[in-house]
Amino acid sequence: MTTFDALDTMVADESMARVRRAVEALSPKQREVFTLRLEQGLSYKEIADMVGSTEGAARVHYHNAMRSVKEFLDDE
Amino acid sequence: MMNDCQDIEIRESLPELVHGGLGAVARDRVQQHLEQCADCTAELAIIRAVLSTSAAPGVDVGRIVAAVPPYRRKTSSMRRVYLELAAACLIGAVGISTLVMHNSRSVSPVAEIQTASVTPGLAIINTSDLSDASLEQLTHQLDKFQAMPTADPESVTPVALQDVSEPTVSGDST
Repeated sequence: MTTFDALDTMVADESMARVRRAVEALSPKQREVFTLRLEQGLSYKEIADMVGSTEGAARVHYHNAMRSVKEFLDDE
Repeated sequence: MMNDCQDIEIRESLPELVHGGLGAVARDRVQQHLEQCADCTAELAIIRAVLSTSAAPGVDVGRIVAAVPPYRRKTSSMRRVYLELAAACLIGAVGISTLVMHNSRSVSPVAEIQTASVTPGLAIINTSDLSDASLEQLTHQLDKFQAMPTADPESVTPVALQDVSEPTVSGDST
């Protein structure tokens, strides 16, 4: 591993840590919908069925969560 | 500063793009949009980063440290007794070894000094044991060596003594 590779790894690790902190900063409902949408690849309908909500509410939670993550990453 | 792209359909397609859930036409359309939209590119990077973090669970050091019980020093009486016994044994061992070393050195200090001071190969001549003839021969040989020109007398003197002593001793034996 070269110095540049090690540096890239450090930067990547730090970026991942920042993203992880951003997701952890979400509200429980936002985090649940966000992770189900991104990690499981579920549709809003499937998410709504799982969390006992509506498809529209799931969509709103997802986009609010994405905005919060962006703001968190911008602020750090 | 990351903003939200106004093309909501493309944004909704980004998770499916990552999971491979888009058809060829939809995928090409999203790819073309990504080439000219920095906001969607940034959002796609976030989605991939979230997937990476979920694939490799992070180590929450703070939570681990909080879960570790506080360190408490054991102050049981048995432990103290063991420590005192160990200290006593250590002191005793050091004292005994010091006594042994002192006794072994005090047996024959003169012999040790004499042994250390004798250089191997350099004979020590006791002139009182020599006969008059041998003593005269030795004196004669010493005069010959002292008469030789030397550039560095100090370095030559021990060698000269060694050379002189050998024929003298052999002369006595004959």
